Amino acid sequence: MAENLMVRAKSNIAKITGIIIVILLYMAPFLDKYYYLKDVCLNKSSLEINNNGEKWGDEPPYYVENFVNPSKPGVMCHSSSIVMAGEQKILCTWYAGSREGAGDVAIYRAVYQEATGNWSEPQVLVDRRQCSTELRRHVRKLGNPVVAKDSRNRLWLFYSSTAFGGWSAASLNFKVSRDDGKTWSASKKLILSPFFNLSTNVKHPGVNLQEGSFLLPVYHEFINHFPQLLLFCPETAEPRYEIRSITQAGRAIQPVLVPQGGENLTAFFRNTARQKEKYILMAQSNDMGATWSPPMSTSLPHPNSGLVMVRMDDGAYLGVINYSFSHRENLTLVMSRDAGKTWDILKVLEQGEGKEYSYPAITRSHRYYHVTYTYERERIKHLAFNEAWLKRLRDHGN
Amino acid sequence: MKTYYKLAVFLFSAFITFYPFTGLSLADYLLSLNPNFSIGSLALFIILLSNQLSRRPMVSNRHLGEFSLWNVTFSLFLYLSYLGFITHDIYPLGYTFSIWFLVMAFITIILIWRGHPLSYVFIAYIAAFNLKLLPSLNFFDYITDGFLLVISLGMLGYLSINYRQLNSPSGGAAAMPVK
Repeated sequence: MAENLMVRAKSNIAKITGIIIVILLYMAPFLDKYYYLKDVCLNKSSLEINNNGEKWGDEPPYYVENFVNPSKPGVMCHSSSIVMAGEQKILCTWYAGSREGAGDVAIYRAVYQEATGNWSEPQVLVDRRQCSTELRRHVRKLGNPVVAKDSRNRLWLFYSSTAFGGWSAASLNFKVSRDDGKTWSASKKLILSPFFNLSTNVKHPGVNLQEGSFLLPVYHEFINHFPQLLLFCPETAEPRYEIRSITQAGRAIQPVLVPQGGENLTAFFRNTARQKEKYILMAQSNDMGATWSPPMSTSLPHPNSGLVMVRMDDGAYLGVINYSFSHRENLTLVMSRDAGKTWDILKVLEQGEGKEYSYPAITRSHRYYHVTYTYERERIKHLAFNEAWLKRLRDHGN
Repeated sequence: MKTYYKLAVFLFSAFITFYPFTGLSLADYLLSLNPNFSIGSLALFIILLSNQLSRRPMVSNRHLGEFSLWNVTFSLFLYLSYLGFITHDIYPLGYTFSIWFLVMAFITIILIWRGHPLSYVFIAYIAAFNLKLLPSLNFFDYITDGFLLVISLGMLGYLSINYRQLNSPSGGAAAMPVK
């Protein structure tokens, strides 16, 4: 009898000890959230509006166009991204190879000097073999490089890779540079999906927060298509990150984030809906992307292609899009001065039957807007213009 | 002789798993398909291995079935939610403390109180998450992964097909037949 009681007492003590251990173990994430993480990177700081902190002066209209890379027979290139990388320098990245998804596709970079107006010779930033060696993973193909600069002047390269299958099996990797893109860290893989790490892709840079953190718009396209937001906090030894859906309604991908000041964000989306006549989608968030309005159609026709938008100093939206329901044969500069309700065509940048002008990217330096895009799948074209040129277009038409 | 044979098989398996024949090892290729093997996967692997190697199984058929059922249920709920088949995406709630941590703590406490052998696995989930032992930063990735769902479905199928045989006085001793 006494022995039984002893055994039972011992068993209960063991159970109670186990329960105390469990409670203590679950206290760690609790304290992390409410005492540590809150102060480090999830603080409700203002979203940075990307104007490099300067107002433009009264300069004469300026517009220049050139090519980032030379055309080579049998070489396709696509999906450029640009960012300021040092004083009066613009870094452009894109991918090129024999065809999209081929094993010889590599990510290239070139640097533009605003002072001279010249692009440097393209160099390979990362290829499939290098990516595989750095990640110690099988890599079938690379794509969609995106460069972004955080509030501590580090450059981040995010790019997608697949071990098997198409782009819907893509996962994201990143590299970081602390010297304006001269040298880069080894690639690291992000685990962003619970299901075999499928399928996260990226197209546009994000919005900077304080302390070097940023929001990166990404998207998912495995069975369902939907946009997501990656909160990236690089201030610890290993970057912390969180992914959440912007919306799971509709078929919106490739979000473009446009900060509105404070905690307000507007997002524009590529629309992959199956209907013949579809429009660019748009949604709003008033809490730094934590919650979003349902995506609404704008009045901009859309052929299911890449697009880019940016907010100007006066609050107007400037966009580069394929203004069509069915093809990528034109690339058009559009503007809205009423928060996306109505749009004006400022200039048709490219037009060519049977040609492709697509996947625009945009950034802003101290003096100019810089736009790059895929030119007939053979080259990356670059435009630079200032606000005075835009004003002239606005006042006098195309 | 038999011990040497077992050791040789073990060493050979380890060699072909970790030696980088084509720049990458078989383990690297496996991690290319599933970059984050969960604590659940690790636990299932240890349970199955121990049941094969030891005469006394670590976990009974019933508990193995319950573990597989838990893995399948949780995985399907998580994946349907993340992949957009359910309106509410629970995956972001796994990065930092949320209601789901309370749910998991509650389940773990119940398992401990009932003296369930799987309570050790549930403790291992949160202990490993706190120590950041896996590449993922999300607690749910410590509980399950795609590979575990597939294996658990297979286990459930195997256990239900062989239910009678495994529960008979002769076959019920081991969770899986000992070779």
